[in-house]
Amino acid sequence: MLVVDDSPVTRKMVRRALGLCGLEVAEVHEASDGAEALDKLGQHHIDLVLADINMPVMNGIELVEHMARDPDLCTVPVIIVATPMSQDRVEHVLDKGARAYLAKPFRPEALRDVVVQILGTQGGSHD
Amino acid sequence: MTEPTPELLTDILGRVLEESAFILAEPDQEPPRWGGAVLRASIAFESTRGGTLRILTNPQAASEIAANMLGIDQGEEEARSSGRAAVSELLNVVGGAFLTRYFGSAVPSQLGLPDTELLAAPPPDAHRTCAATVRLESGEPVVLELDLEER
Amino acid sequence: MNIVTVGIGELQVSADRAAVMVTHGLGSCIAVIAYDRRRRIGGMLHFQLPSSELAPDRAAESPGTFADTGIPLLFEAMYALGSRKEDILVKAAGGGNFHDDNGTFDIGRRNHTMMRKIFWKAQVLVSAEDVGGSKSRTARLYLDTGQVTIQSGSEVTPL
Repeated sequence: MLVVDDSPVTRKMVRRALGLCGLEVAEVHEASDGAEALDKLGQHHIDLVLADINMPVMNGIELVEHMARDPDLCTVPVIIVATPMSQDRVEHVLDKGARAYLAKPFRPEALRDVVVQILGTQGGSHD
Repeated sequence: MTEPTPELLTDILGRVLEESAFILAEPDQEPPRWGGAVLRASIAFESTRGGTLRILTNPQAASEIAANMLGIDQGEEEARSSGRAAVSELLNVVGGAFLTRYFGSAVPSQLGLPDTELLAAPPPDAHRTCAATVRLESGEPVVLELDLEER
Repeated sequence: MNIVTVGIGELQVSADRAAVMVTHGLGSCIAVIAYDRRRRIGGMLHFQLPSSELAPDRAAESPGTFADTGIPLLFEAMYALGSRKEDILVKAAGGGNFHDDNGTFDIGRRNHTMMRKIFWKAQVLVSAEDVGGSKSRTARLYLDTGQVTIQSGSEVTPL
């Protein structure tokens, strides 16, 4: 898995919540913006991306757009974990290819529900 | 649209502290008397009106918030070193909550990136539309200020 | 069917597969229901208040009264029966908003927040909960299957 957020505290919280999902998580990578996330996606096999929207350098919407255009990345699901702001922003990022939107502050059970829904109950470990 | 009130800011700050850091903060009518270093986080926003939100608190409160967010003891070094980032993220989430509560989720809005600095001494009073103070369970203060552009 | 009743401020654990653990009168109190799926060990705590900090004497006498003393004790009791943390499923019910004896309206919410804080720190997920509102609840845990039901009035729903 890849957690993308400019806040190191949020990255730790998401990482902790992922550990409670009941899935076998092989490795959790981190990135502090969309550009760094694309680097990590180029270096590692990633099954799921959890990304904020408001980030410097490259924001979450731009990251989703980049991934959607890349044949190697377009099938990697992205869950947006962000403070909602406005409905049009939520709809926009889902239109661009994000699979789900989880509003901050998130409850670990809600994160678990959306991760399990997207990854399914398929066995094996996830990155 | 009515003008924002201290009660609105108190409610938003209190709810975000509860949801993100499991802290049940109490409103305080008296602004704090800062005794030393102050952490100040600012975030700009744009909607039908623009403005800035600021959080002011002290490093002890920041450690308390960080410890709760991370699920660790307040005495741990990680809590102390994560205080600034925790306050920054707190303001980010408060900002989003303010935009949806005050302007409504149907109105396009935008938040900037939080900018956080540690000041050796309390800052001079900044222009503000309204402000609210809450006390964490330890009694440490957190102030939320709103500076909303004139109509 | 053996009924194991958990009173207010109490906790019980059981490895009896014929047992049904039950606690009544969940107003602002919260029932923490723990079930080890692998070993079919069950535990239930009915706590009234969030923190023992201001009442250490009372906590020493009745640790189940408080979330911060009762929840760790519940888990220790389950471990003593052979349970392991990674096999325990946790659910919760209660935390309604009523005026308590002190006139405090939000004790249910405080209880819920403290419970969530404790579990976040302990890295335990609350897999399901039925909390809030202003109804009184009864919680039951069936140890043969791990099923949990919540009753309010005559309505019984699975959790």
